[in-house]
Amino acid sequence: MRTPLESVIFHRAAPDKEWLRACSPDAHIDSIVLDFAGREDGLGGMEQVGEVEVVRHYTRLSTLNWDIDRGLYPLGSCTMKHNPRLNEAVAADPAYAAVHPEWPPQYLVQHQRIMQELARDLAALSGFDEVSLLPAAGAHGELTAVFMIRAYHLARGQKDRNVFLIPDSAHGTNPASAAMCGFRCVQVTSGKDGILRLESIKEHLNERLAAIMITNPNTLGVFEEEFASIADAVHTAGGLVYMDGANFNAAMGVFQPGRIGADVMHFNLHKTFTTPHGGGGPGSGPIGFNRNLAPFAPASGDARSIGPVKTWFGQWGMFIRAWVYIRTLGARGLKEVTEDAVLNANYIRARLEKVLNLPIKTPTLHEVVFNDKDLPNKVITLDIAKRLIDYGFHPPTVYFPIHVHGALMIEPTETESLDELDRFCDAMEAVVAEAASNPEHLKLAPHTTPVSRVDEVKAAKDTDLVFRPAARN
Amino acid sequence: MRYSAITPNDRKKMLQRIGATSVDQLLAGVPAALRTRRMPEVRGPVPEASLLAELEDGKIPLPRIALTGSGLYNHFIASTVASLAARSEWVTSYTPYQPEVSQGTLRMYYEFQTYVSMLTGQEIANGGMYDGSTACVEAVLMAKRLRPKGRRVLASAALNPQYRAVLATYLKFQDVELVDMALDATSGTTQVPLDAGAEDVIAVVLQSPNWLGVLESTTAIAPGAFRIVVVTEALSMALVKPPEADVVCGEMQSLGIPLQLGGPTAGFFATAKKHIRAMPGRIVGRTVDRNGIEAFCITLATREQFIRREKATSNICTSSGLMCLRSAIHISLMGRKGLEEAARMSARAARAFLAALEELGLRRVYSGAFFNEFVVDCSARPELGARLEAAGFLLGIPLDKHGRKHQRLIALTELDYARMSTIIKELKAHAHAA
Repeated sequence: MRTPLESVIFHRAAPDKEWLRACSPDAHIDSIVLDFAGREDGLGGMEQVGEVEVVRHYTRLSTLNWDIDRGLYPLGSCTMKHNPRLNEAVAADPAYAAVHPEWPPQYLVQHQRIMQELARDLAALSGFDEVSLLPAAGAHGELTAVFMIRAYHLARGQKDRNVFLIPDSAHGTNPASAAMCGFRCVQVTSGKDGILRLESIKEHLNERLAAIMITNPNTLGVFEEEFASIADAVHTAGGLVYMDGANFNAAMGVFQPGRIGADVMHFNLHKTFTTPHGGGGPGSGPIGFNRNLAPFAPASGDARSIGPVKTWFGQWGMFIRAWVYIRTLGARGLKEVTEDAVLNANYIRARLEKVLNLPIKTPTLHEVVFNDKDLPNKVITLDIAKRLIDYGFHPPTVYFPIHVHGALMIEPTETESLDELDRFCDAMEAVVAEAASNPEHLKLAPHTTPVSRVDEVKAAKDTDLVFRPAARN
Repeated sequence: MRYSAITPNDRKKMLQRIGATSVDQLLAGVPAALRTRRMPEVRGPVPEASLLAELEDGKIPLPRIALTGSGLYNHFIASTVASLAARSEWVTSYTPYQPEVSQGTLRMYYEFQTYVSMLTGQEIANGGMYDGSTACVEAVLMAKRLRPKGRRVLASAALNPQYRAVLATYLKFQDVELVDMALDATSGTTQVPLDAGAEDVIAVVLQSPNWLGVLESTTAIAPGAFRIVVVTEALSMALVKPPEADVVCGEMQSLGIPLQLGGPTAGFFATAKKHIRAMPGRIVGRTVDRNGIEAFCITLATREQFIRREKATSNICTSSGLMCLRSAIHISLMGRKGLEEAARMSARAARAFLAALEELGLRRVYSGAFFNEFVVDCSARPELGARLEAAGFLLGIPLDKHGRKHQRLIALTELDYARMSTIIKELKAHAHAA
């Protein structure tokens, strides 16, 4: 049975419908005199919907989404893994959810202890001396680190260090974060084998160099084997090394960024540590850093601190989920996470390299990047991605990393079973076969979704971001 | 490992298919010299019931009455919000890059944008920010893009101190001076200088109700000024006339989001349509699919980091989706009448409690109009706060650490309105026990 395609809620609203009452009003609640100018615009045209219809509406809307509880969500560099219900249950407990940060400290003893433990665990896993939990998301953690790098150079009287080296495989947030602090971004090119070579950055090792930002393993899933020697060279030149920790799921128990040359790194609790992605957040982006950067950290207590980047403690609701996850698995379990994540990705690679082009053949860890080279009938990556939906799978990340033409980037994570991986690979094989046998069907895919391919050009041209009653039909 | 779905037998089969003898061989890309030799010191594994028992043992009872605000408010949240927002399809989905399988999330963002536009009185809004403090920063950074000659940002002395501190962090590394605007000592409103519209001024940042609870007005600000109004008590927008402003931004926590020790929450950001391409953050637009059916997608992504990289309007990627969802559900349940009623109850509770404090000889510090929060001078009863605290009754937030001796910032909501007689009875009982 197919649910009708639910539009936005405003079609269900009317001025005379019931509303939800918080508590019993006294007789005079509507007539109390307020000593300020009140609204005269009917709250911008807002009306009521009524409880039953609200429940129907958001339940129906939810069914228009794909989600990890339904099946594989193989987005590369996004680490869409199972989100344990235990984490959710603990976080929803009023003892943790209904607490105000300005309450006297005796009410926050347990919360403080959990935050300290989480910071200590992240430091132990990553090899950094210290961790700040404050940043609100991965990109926010990056930005915090970029501020710290700026403050570090300024404190050493080196205000002219304004160059950030960013490999062509980097996430878009890396250059965006560096630019927000006024740094000049210089792109450096990785080798044909997908590995960044010391040789390729040598010309930039000078007194203008502020830092290099390296994702490791990189967005191809390849470990940057020259990481330590690049870090040494950057340090010798007076620069710092930022590691993008988006792919930390491939690192736990295997290598420690803080011990092999990185000065600072962000974690994504919503990737590696199972806090949910929630359709685009909330994230949580703690940073780990070594002693040389400690005085500059937010809330370091030092006059050289960059200052806070967020209110209060950061994303507490995510901290407690990550803390529960870490305690549930322990050190051995976390190492197994990385091992299984690598195993699963390599299994997909082994199966799909028979049918799809693997542009870079270097061994990979937790993810693998194919592309659309050699597909017949001008079938492109987008067609493969969209058709995969009809087979019951969310598409991989497409057209990223940008240095691989037509990239299809697959990260299965450790929580997928062999059966699910096989079904996914079978589906991919079937889709590729269709590229030869029925390309037109592929180019019009998906065929089974509530809406078909969306006119994104129209969305950008005739921008409609807010419902207006005139738009009703 | 509890969350593994791979059996030892699977592992064997998979390795065979890969052509490797062990998982360790798959990790060979990590040079031996860089490998971790020691297992990290992390406690666990702990089974579920043991972990819950350990947590239970560490719990501390919540205060019975807590009149705390300062940017985070204990408002009513219907059970329906948590129940709907806990559905797998909301919790475990990703940012909606593939619109065909994300129409639920996309429609929700469009609704959130519409609700923010209705509440703020602004033409357009984005799909949310991390929180109020970073929304305020992003508003200032947008103003800087629009006024590249600007060198100064004027911020009210009654901007929430944490917001001011976050803004100072971001501006520290720009060629921008952050200047405080003083308060009128009687009314508690901000005195905006006459040259606020000057070319070298990037923006004027006011908060309303401000940190001290007093409502601000922007009507007298010099023409030509770029006016940013920050709202940290979102429910106030249901009653207070929307400000004349170029950006209205702030914190959505009051509308459907639990306190959660201050995070996660959701920020909101609203402005005029003419600023659409300078706006930060995710934006969802309404369009059609190939067959002409109504559809929604992320739009104007050419402003965003994953397309524009170092030229993006902001570095924001993962933001506050699930918290925006909670707000959208909450607002839908309440509707205009429910929000107005809750806002009136909050305002009424604050006035009733203030009257009770005045009966005890305490007085409000400022005379300016207020919504549900105010500063009280407790010097006439300096022991009262501590005595109430000992009984699990938090008389707002002491402001001593802000250089305001014996002053307390007190906020009430519709939840306090529901218990008004109990709250006032307890206040009087402890005051008279002296």
